Amino acid sequence: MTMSGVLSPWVSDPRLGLIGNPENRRIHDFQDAVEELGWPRPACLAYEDLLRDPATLERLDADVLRIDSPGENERVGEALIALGGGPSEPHLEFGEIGYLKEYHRGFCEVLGWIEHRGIPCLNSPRDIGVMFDKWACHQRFVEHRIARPPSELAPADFSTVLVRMRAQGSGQLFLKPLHGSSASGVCALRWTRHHQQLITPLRIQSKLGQPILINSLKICAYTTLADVELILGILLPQGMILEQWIPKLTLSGGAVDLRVLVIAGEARHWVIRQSRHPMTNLHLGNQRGDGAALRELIGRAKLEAAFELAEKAAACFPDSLYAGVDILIDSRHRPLVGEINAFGDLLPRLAHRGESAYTAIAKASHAQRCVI
Amino acid sequence: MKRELVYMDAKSSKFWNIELTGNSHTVTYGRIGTDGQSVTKSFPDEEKARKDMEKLVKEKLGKGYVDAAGSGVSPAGAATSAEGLIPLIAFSSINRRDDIGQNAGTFIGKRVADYDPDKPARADVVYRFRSDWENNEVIPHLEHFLATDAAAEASALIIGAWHGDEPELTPEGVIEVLVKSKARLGKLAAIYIGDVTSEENEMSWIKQCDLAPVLKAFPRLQLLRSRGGDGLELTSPEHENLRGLALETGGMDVGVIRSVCTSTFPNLEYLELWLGTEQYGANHTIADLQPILSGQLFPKLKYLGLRNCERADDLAAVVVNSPLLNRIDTLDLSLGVLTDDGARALLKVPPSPTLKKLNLHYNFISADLVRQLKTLSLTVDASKPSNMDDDDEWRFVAVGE
Repeated sequence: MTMSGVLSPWVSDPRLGLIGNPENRRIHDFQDAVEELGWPRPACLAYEDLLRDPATLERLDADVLRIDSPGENERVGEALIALGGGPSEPHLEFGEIGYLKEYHRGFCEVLGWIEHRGIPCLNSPRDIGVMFDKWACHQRFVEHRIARPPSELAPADFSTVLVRMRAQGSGQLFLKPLHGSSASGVCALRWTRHHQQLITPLRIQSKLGQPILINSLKICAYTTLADVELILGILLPQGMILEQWIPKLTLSGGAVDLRVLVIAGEARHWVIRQSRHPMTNLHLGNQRGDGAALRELIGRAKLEAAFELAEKAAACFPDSLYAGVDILIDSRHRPLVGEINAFGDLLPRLAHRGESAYTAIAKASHAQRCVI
Repeated sequence: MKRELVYMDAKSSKFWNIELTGNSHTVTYGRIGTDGQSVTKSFPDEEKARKDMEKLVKEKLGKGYVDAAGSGVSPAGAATSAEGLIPLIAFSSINRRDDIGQNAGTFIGKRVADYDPDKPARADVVYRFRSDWENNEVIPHLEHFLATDAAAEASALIIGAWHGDEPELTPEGVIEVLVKSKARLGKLAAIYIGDVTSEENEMSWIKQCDLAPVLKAFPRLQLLRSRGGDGLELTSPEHENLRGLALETGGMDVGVIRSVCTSTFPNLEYLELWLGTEQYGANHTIADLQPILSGQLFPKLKYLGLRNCERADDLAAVVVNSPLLNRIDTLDLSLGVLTDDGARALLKVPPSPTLKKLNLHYNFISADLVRQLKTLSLTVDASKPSNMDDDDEWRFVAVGE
């Protein structure tokens, strides 16, 4: 990790600052973890305050910053959309998917302010910006010869996708919003000449006579062409990546992938995410899988290969101290990178070498700061 | 006092033995073929130890364990008897709803491995052949295997996702290779065509084909298992030695049921049909099953599974009157939409000299009726998956889209 200037070598106990949504457990859990290590509880600059008045950043008194997720806060979301060129009052329903491009543009703008402020960050604002762009991430991985499912930028309209579906006859692929977080807006699409099926944690709702998409904790399967067209008709113009759906390894209870938290170059906390659906994200009612069963099925060497790949993927972002890497394992037990997540460290009740993910990150950040 | 039980499904082959000595009992358990591990537990008196043993045995039977004696499974792990017969318990594969989402880990009691042409083929594992997302390798790998000594010793084969990323491809080409090489597979006793997970293809979309050529080519075949209902056929359903037939579908075509009803399988002991739903191709009625339920077919039948059925209640109402219940030992109505109506019908199951087990795993039966079912003098499995959507207004079979 390289950190530019600012921090003097004689600063023995640098103050850590957070940027996030203070009401979110990401923030207080991390603050607790730092405090438990005997260090001062880091202050948090709320995105809401920052967005209302960017000068709050100037007054932020910290030597190192940890940038956390702006998600799960409606007002922050609306402000980011407005900042990114969207309407000042987007009037989104709770959980509605909309203005993903504007949201991302707004967030990148804020990341730019943070970068400009010049305080070193555990994960650089630039890296975070790239990690929130699935196409940019894919290109970076391909550049570094990281195994990835074949992918491309999706067309912006459904008719082009449909022409290609018809020409191909049958197939299965994932369509993921370029700037979505977790499984929001992710669609698993498969089709033959006679059927189509789109599986997604979204429900269709009507607003002022117009269909809208609402994030759902329940994964739904849509099987009519009209529904598929409706959903993708809303999502595609907001930017999507089209990724080959590689059949995931299955264990008792369903398909699995791995979330591996890489900290300071080392694969640390990991969890098996298991689902009977194509989306394994744990907040969607899915479960943590059985590590022993996985090890028994694929063997230690293949599991090590998965961790190594996670480390290599994280290494594509040298200005980031940590990242959550999703690793798929195919039927031949070969690992591929699904995604990399800047805020992929929310792994409660999971210990590695006796440390929680937040404790491990706090310690690593301290160690890192002492050698700067 | 001693009791020895065994269990087999798509994941594992296990044994569980318990021996009572005085006021303690010792449980020895593990994988079949290993020594396993032992745990001894002591009680204040003999009576309490015996009670605990009985409780444990009942639990195990409820989970699908059967007595090793008479099951044909030897503790040493030889999955086939001296006469080469596969134990009946080894015919079952998907015991739990959660097993559906997983590729087979064992088949006829043996460990399953994906065939790797770069490794020497072994005789003690069952190989699975499939194409993956990058390469359509099922046929080249199969041909490679057929040219090894292990092929001549193979008692079982699994064909996995043969279609790779072309979900509309049928297994016809694979079957042709098998039929052409039947002389190389002299000991083939079991085959599973369609070990395909929902990650690989939607079950109701799997394109099957006529499986009769497999029956014809392998006169020593004991078990034919397949997954996928679209295009499934069984023209000329005849086989002298077939003991098990398991057809897993999301919706069964009436033509397949008619083939089964007009078949000549004089040695059939195990019949497992996944009937499915109308939405996914089921176009039969309960009446179409009448020739099976009349008891005129399959004189040796011991297990009847009518699973994954949308109208399991109607089925239950009919099946309790079947003369077959006086001959079979297991009735399996699991994975379907069985509600209190069906449970009430099953409470009226007449006493049978043979029937021992009622499998109702994955059901929509209320706790009260489950309690009543447990009073039957049968082993009743009325378990539900932990994450089952019970209160949903939509009641659905275990396999749908």
